[in-house]
Amino acid sequence: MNQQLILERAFLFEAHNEKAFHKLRDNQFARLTQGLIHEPFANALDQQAEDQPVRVELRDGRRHACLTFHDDGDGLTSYNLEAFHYIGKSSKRGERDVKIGRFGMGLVGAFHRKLAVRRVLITTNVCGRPARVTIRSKPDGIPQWHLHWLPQPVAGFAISFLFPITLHDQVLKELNEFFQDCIVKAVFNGEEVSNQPEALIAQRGDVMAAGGSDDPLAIISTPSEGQQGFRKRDDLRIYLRRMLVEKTSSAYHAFRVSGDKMAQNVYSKPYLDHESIIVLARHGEPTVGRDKLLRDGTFGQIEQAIDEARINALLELLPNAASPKATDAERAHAVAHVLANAYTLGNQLGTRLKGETLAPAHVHLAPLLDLLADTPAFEVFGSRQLLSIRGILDASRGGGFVFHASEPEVYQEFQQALDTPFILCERRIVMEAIWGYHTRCPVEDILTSIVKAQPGFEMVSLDQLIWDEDKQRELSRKGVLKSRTVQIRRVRTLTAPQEAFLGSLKDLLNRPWFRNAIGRFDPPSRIRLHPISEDGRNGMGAGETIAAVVGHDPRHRELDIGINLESSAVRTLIESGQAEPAFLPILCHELAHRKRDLDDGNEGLVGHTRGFYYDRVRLEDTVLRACVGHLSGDVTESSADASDEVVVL
Amino acid sequence: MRKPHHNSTGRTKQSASPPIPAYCGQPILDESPRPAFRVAAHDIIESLLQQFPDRRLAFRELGQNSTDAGATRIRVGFRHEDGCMVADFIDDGCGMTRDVIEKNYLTLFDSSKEGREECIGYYSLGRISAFVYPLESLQLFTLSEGSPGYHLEILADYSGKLYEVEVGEIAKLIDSEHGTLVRLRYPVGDMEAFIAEVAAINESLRRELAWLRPEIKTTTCKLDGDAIKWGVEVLNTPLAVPGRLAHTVDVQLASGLGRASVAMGVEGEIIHSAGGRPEKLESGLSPITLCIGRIPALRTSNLPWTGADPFTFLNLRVVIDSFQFHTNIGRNIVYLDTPFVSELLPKIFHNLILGRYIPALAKAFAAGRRHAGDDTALRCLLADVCTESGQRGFAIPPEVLDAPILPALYRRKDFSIRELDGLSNTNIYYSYERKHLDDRLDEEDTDGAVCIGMYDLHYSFRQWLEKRYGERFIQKKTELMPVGENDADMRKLTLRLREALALPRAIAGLDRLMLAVEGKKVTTAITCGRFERFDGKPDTRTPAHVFDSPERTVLNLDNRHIQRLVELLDNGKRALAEHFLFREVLFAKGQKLPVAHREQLLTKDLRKRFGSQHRSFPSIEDIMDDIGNAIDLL
Repeated sequence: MNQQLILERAFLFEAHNEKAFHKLRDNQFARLTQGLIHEPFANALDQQAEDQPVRVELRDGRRHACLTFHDDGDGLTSYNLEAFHYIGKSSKRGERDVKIGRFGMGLVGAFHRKLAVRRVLITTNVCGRPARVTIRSKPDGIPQWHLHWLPQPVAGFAISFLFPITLHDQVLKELNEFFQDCIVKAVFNGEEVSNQPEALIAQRGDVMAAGGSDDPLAIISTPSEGQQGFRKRDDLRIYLRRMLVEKTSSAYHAFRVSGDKMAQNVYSKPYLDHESIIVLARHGEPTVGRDKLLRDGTFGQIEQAIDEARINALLELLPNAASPKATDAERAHAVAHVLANAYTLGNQLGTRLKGETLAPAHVHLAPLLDLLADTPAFEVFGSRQLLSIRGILDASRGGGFVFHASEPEVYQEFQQALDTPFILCERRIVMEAIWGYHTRCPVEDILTSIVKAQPGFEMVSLDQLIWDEDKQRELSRKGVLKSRTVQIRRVRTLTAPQEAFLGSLKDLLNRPWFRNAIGRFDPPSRIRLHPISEDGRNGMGAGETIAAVVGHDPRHRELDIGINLESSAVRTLIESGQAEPAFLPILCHELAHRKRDLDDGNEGLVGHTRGFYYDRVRLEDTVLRACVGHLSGDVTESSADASDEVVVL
Repeated sequence: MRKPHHNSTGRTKQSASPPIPAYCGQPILDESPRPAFRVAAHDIIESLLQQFPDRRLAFRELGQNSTDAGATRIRVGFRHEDGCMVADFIDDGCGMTRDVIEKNYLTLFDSSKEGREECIGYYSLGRISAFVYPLESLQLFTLSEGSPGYHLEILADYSGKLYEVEVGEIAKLIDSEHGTLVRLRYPVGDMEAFIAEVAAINESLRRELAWLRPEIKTTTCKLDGDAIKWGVEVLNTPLAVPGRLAHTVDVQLASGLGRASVAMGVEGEIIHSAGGRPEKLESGLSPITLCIGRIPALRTSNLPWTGADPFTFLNLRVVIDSFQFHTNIGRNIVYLDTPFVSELLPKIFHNLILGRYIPALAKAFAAGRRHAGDDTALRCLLADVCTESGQRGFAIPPEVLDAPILPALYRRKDFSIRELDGLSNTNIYYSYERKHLDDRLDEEDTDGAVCIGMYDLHYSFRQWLEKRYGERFIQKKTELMPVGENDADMRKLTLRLREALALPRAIAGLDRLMLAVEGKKVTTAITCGRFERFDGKPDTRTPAHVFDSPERTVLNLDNRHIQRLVELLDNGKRALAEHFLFREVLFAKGQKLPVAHREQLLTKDLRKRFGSQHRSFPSIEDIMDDIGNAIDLL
C-alpha cells in the first residue's frame, strides 16, 4: 500500500483528564453509595489483620455528616501517593490477586456529583511521618489534594468523607443493609456487627456440604423437610475477600432461565434442588460497578467449587433412595434427584458406564456418577424393587435388549412371551420442585440415551413393539420373543345345547336395545357368530381363547366373531342355561377391536392398548346398562332406524 | 513528504499536572496543593480491559461505532493466515479525518459523539475492548468525504503509526467512498480452532447486533473434507419479539425527555407448523432487554415498572430501545434512576403494556380457537396480571377480567374472573386436574358445578383467587364423597350384597376381597351408599367408586343401573345380577386393577357363578390361584 507516515508514538493513546474524572466519577457504580461505602470498606479490609474488626463511624453535624473508616493497616507509601495522583495506577498492582487495593478507581466514585462529598480526609503515616491528606472537591474541575504534617504520632489508617447532612439517612440505611450481608467482623458506631458464613447458612437449611478448597470454598445447604416451601427460589451469594459481590438466585445464575428450573444449560452439571450456596473466594475481580464477579478464569474455579459442593451434598442425599431408615418422602426425594442428575449428566454417565475415561473437565463427577449408576431408581413391572442403571445393564448383559412399557396391559401382552429378566415401567412424572411443571418420562428421557450409548445394548419400547411387526419378527428370530401362534378351526357340528345357546344369544343381540346401545360406537351392520375351536396356542399372551374376531370386512361393515364353545367359560354358560347376557362383556371386547380398527385405519387386528380398553369399557358400560334396563322391563322396545340396523346372524 | 513527529500532539495533558516532586526517585513531600485523579492512560487501559470478560463483545463495540458513524451496511469477514485469525469489520459510515483520529480516537474518554443524541458511544473506551484479544495488531483503514485516507496501526504494546493513504486505495479496500475497516489479527491455532472461533464470533454477532438497522453480513465457514466451505449470512432481524402475538410501537415522552421503541411478545406460544406438529415458540430472549441504539445493554428478569419493587409478567417479553438509556463505564449496568427512565417505565407500563397490549392479548385469548394446552403461555400471562395487580396496586384491565382464563372442568366454556365474581353465593372449586377437551365433556352434567383446573396456572395466582373469593374458594379434594353407608337400610343392603356376592367376611376386622395382582395385594371391601359430588349435589351417574380409609368399593344406590341390578336379585335373574354387580365392583372408578386383569377376574366369576358349584363362590385362595392361567380375550 502506498502510504506516508505522519505520526508515530511509542504509546499511542492519551487521555482527557477532566472528562475522564467526570465520567469515572459518575458512571462507575450501580448504586450511588457504593463509592462511599463499599470501596473504602474494601480498602480497609485489605489492610486489616483478619481477626481485628474494621471500625466504621457515621457522625452527623449541623450541616455535614461524616463517615469514617478506620483500619490498623500500614500508612501510605510514595507509591500510594502516586496512585492518588493518577487514576488507574492502583497501589494494588502486583498484588491484586489478594488485595482489593488502597486506591483504585473506586475513590473517584465517592465524589459522585449527587453525593456532593466536600472533603475527604486521610489521617495516617505518609512515608513514615504522621500526616493528614486532604482531598478537596472543586465545583467545576478535578479535586485537589494536599498534605499536612501532624505533630503527634498516628496509628493505622483513617479515611473520612464529609457530605451534606441531607444524605445522612440514606447513607445510614445503606450502611445497615451493607452490614446485614457482611461476613466481616466490623464495628459500626461502637457496636460489633458480624455474620459468620456458617451462621448465615444455618438460617437457611440443614444439609451442609462443602466443595472446592479453602479458596474458593462453596458451602451448600438445602432446607430440611419442614422448611420446604413451594418452589422456593434457590439462592447464591458470592463473597470476594469476605465482601458480598453477588447475590442472586442460583437458577438464574447457572442456567439463565426465565421460568422454571431445569430449562436449559443444565447439562453436564450436578443438580440439587432448593439449594442455598455461599461461596467464599479470595481471588477474582469485581466488575466495574461491583455488582458481579468478573467471568474470568477464577470464576470457572468458583463454578467448579459449587459443583463439588453439590456433588458432596448429593453423595450424602442419594443413599436415602435405598436406605431402610429413610422415610417415604426422603426416599422419593432421593430417587427424584437420581433421575434429575442422570438426566443432566447423561453423557458423562454413559461414558463412565462404558468404562471410558471422562473428559478432564468432568473427572470430579466420577464419585457422583458411580453412585448414580448404582442407586435404584427405575420401576419395573411385577416387583416393588427399583432397579439401578448398572443393575439394568448387568441383568441385560448378553441379551442386550432392555424392554420398557408404559401400560400394564402392554406389559401383560408381552410378559409371557419375552425372554427378559424384567420389563421397565415407564411412567410420566411431574416433579414439581425439580422440573417445575415439566413432565418427564424417566425411561425415555433419561435412561434411553445412557443405555443406547453402551455398545450392544438396545432399548425396545413395548408400546411401539406391539405395532411393529418387523421388529417382532426380528426379536423372534433372535429368540427373544416367542412367536405367537393360535390355530383356530371352524366347528361344523354342534350339540343341541350349543345350538340353543347360539340361538338365544342371536335372539338377545337382535333386540333394538342392543342396536341402540352400540349405535354410538360405529357398529357393523352385520355380525356373524361362528362356533370355533382352538387347536394350539403359545407365545405372547398365552391362554384360552373364548372368542375372537375371525373375519372383518370394513367395506360391507361386516364382522365375524368366532366363539369357542369348548372354552370353559362358554361351556359354563351353556350348562347354566338362560345366561346369555353374561356373554355380553366378551362380545363387547371383540366389538371394541373393530372400533379401534376403524379409528386407526389399520387393516387387521390391533393390540390391547390403553385406547382399546377405554373404548371397550365405555361400550360395555353402555351395553350392560341397556341390557339390565331391558331385563327389568324398564326400557321400551322401540324399533331402531332400519338403516342403522344391526343384524346378528 | 511530511516529517513524522514523535510523541507530541500539543495535547500534553499529563505534563500539565505537576508531578510529585521527587529526588533520586523518592518523593519530596511538601504541603503544596496538587490536582488529584489525573489519568495514567496505560494503567487505565489495563484496568478497563479486565472489564471485558467476554472478548467477543469487542465486536459489539465495533458494531456500535459503525452505527454511530451512520453506516448503511456492515460486512464481517474472516481469514486464517499463518495460524492467525484475521477478522475484518467493514462499514460504509462517515469515516474519520485526521483530526478525529488524533483528538478522539486516540484520546481516551474524549468521544466525538458527546452531545450527539442518537449515538450509543459516550465513554470513548470501546476501541480498547479489542485488546482483550491477544492482538498482534489492530489496523484501521478509514476514509471520509473530502479528506485523504488514513491507515492506523496499533501493536500489542499500544505503540503505533498513523499513515496517510491515497483515497483510491482505501476506497477499493472498503468498497465504498467512505467508511472504515477495522482489522484484528490474533493467534488462533489450527483450522478447526479457526472455524470454531468464527462460529463463536458469529453467534455473538447474532446475539448482540442482529437488531441493528444497517445491513449486517457476516462470513460463515465450515469444514468440508479438508477444505473450508465459505458462506454469507445476513444477520438482521427486525426489532421485535417473534410470534403471532407480538407488537412493536414507538413512544415519545411528552416531557421531551426522549423516545423509545418498545417491542412486546409472549414467550412459549404454541405454533402449529405445516406438518401440524405443535411446537413451542422459544425466543431465547430474557424477560426484559434494554437496548441502546438497538444493541442490548441490559438483559434482566424484571424492572421497577411502577417505581417500586421490580417485577414483570410471566411469559411476557419486552424489548425497549432508546438512546436515552445510560450505562456505566463497565457497560454492565443501565441506570434506572435517571429522570428519563423514571418517567418512561411507568408510562410504558400503564399506557402501553397495561393500557393497550394486555387488553389486546386478553381479547385475542377470548376470541382464539384453542386446542388444549396451546394457550397456556398466554393464559399464565393474563393470570399473572391479576396476581401482580394485588401486589403492585394497579387495576386489572376489564378485558382480562372478561377473558376465559380459568379452565372449566365440567363444561366446555371456560370461566372468566368476571363470571366468577358474579356467582356471589356459589362455592368455587379448583383442582389440579388437566382439562381434557374430548367429547366426554358434552355428556357431562352442566348443572352449575363450578370447578376450575389450576393445572397450568401458577401457585401465586391460586393465592390471589383465595384472597378474592375467600372461603368460597375450595380445593376439590375428591370427585365424590360416599354418604349414608352407615344408615340402617344401607347396612342391611350391604350385608345382603356381600352374601349375594359371597364375599368372605371378617378378615382382620374388615370384609375384604383379596385380589392378587402383580405380586401386590389390592384389597377391596364392598359397601352400599349414596354419592355426593364435591359441590354437595347428589351424583346419580357413577355406579361404583373406590374410596380410601378404609379402602372399599361403594355401590351407589342412587344409580339406576345399580338399583335395577338389586331389583333383579329377587327377580329370577339372580346369578346374572350378581355377576353384573361384581362387574360393577371390578370396573368401579378408582379401581387400581389393570383392565385386562379385571376381564380375567370377570370371566373367572362367570365360570364360578354359572358353573355347577354355583353357591360356593371363591375363597381368597381360589381368587388368588393361577392368575397366569387366566383367560386371555383375543
